[in-house]
Amino acid sequence: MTETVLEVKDLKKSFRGRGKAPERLQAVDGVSFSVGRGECLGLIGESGSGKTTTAYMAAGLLPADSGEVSFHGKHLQMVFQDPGRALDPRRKVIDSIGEGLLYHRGGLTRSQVREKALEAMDMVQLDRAYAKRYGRELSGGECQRATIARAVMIRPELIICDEVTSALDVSVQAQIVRLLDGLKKSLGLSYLFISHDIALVDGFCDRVAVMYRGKIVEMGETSQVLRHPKEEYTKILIDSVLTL
Amino acid sequence: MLEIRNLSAAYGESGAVKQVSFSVEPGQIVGIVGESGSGKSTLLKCIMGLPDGRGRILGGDILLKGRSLLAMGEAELQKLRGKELAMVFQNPELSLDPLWTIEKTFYESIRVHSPVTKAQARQQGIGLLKALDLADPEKVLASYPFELSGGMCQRAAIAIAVANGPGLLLADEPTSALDVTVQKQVIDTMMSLRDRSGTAILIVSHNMGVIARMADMVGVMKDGELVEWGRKEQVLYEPSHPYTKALIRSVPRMDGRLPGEASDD
Amino acid sequence: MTKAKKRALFMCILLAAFLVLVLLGKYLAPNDPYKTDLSHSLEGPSAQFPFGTDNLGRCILSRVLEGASASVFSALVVTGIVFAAGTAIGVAAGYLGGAADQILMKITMIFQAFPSFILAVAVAGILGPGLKNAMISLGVMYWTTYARLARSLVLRLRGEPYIQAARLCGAKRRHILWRHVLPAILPSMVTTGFLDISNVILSMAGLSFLGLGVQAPAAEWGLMISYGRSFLQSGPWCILFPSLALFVTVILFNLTGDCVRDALDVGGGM
Repeated sequence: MTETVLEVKDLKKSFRGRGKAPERLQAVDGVSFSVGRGECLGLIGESGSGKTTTAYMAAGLLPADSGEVSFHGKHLQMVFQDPGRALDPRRKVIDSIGEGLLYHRGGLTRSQVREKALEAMDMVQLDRAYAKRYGRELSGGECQRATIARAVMIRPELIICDEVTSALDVSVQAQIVRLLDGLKKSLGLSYLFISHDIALVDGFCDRVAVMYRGKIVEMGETSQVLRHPKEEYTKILIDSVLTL
Repeated sequence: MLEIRNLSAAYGESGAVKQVSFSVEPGQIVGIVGESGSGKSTLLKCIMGLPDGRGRILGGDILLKGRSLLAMGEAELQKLRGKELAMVFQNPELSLDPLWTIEKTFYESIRVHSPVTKAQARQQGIGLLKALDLADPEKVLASYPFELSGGMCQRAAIAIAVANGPGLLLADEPTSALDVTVQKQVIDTMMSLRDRSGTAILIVSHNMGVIARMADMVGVMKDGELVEWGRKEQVLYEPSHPYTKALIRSVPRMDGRLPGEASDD
Repeated sequence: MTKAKKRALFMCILLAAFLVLVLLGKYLAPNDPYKTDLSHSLEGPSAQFPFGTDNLGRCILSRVLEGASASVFSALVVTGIVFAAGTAIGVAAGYLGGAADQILMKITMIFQAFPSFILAVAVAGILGPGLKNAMISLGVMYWTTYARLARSLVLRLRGEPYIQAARLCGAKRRHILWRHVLPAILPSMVTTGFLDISNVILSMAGLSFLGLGVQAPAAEWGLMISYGRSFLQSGPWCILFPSLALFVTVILFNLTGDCVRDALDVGGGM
């Protein structure tokens, strides 16, 4: 096994129940996994299975009730599902992308940060002409490219992708996944790729973990888990995939 | 059943339908695929009579059983809606009144078209839910929409839509808000509806997998135009239009490859 | 520039011109607003006294102009301070969350539990009459609106992905507040402020009317209206012209507020 970038051990999180259900809802119930350098781990499951909560805890955006998250790298970034809300609608695209370097500039001048942001736009194949536009003026796919540019600006070791293609049209979705795959190879990135699109995960991820009711029920090589599932739930999930 | 002739329409700022023609035969399932902005939802809205007043029909005609929907007055259309023409939406929780139980919605939707007692409506409801393979129909009828899971709610919404035995069911992205495991159940519900009562279904979706499973005939829309139309096998597996080819290439399959990769054939 | 923006700009220029007029009002007055002259008591509008005179023979036009600054600028100052303080409290409560939020919002609730104008009257009554005290009591009455609005806007923003992304980029709290949160909530807040100015002007006039604001013989519109009541039949102009001035001012601020809201498109973005 290669060097580990992210290691998550026995993560737990519960939320207060709503309305008639006063008991606490165990959203994530003892999740452990690790992501190796240059590896893409897919986290699949249905809504309410605890995928996104796990992602937020792994990113450090949400405190866990118990368990351990250890990140062996300098920077970790996250790309979100809703492209319309992922960029500040009131700021220029270039400023949003540059934000990645703004807070640990390391002696770079503002114009150098701008230049780096433009380079990042080239990397994600977003036309430099969009730099001066506002976040709200971009289409879904363009927004997603810009947020990926913001993420790769500071050369993170790991990017957590939370349903990044779910709100996109299929043709745009294919472009974005191929972009992520290209960046993975050229920058040696690792991904924690959260998705409910099993067919997409099949093509993109090296390993896959199946979540159900806050627990990982099965984990292994993608081809192994998706072609020869052991768990009943994984079988049901795969059986319900609709594709051509 | 339904015939659309050279239909052109504008909707809001972006939606548009340009010179679209196709027809739905009785008992047939027709799937329209397209990406956002392709005009597929506008098309359905035109058939329902543009209820929110943001659109305009520019030309062409829509015929249901040979009668022009565009020539009818609002009162006449209202008589048709629910009785001969029904619709299910993407989000069942939003299309059902949250303050009504499923039973009440059922009763009300039958009552507007034919005199019926509550007990009769209830019997009819139980029968229909059973026919559509929903477990525990009594419990479903007694529930409020928010008490049901998304999939169950959508299946109940379908049952309510077809309560008056319409010849044509319009479905606007009926599975897009649902989890994959439930998606299949909803599709099966619609297909068994067709097999049982011969209801024709016009389904609009961006999900190629859903269309591939359900439809007999498939239309592909792009920028308001119907760029390809034909039998499912032909359109999805031997497409002729370059846009259809590209669209189909970008659909992820369970083959361990990235979508959109130039295939080796 | 969109049509809405042009209209807002036009209204703002009109309002600015009006404020200049208010500011220079004292110097435009044709007569001494405080000079009593019983030989001209309760005269109707004439060339010498365009708005007529009150029972002491004082020029009403001069008094309306003189009183403008007390009525309008005190309201502007009150709204400004309340806007800043309320926003700060609301943003703090919404962004810090937890115990700070609980405490700040409980305090807001206590203030809101009283009928607002009664509260202002009570505070003014305790502090004693006078312009400064009237302003303080109006501040006490109005700040809760801004605190609650700012808090709810911040709560809605806090979970937005772009705020989370900024956190992951290493942005500190103050960065996020200045760069993302304040620009997002400001349009809604400013619009509310604009629409509130006229309320404050009216409340100020109300306090003066009740004798809790500016004291006689100083000129202030509310006070003039209150005073003019006694001569409603013999000299209706005593009450007509200050009321008209109040009316025009309130309408002007309201219209500008509406235009600013349309121009900033509150509701679309936030």
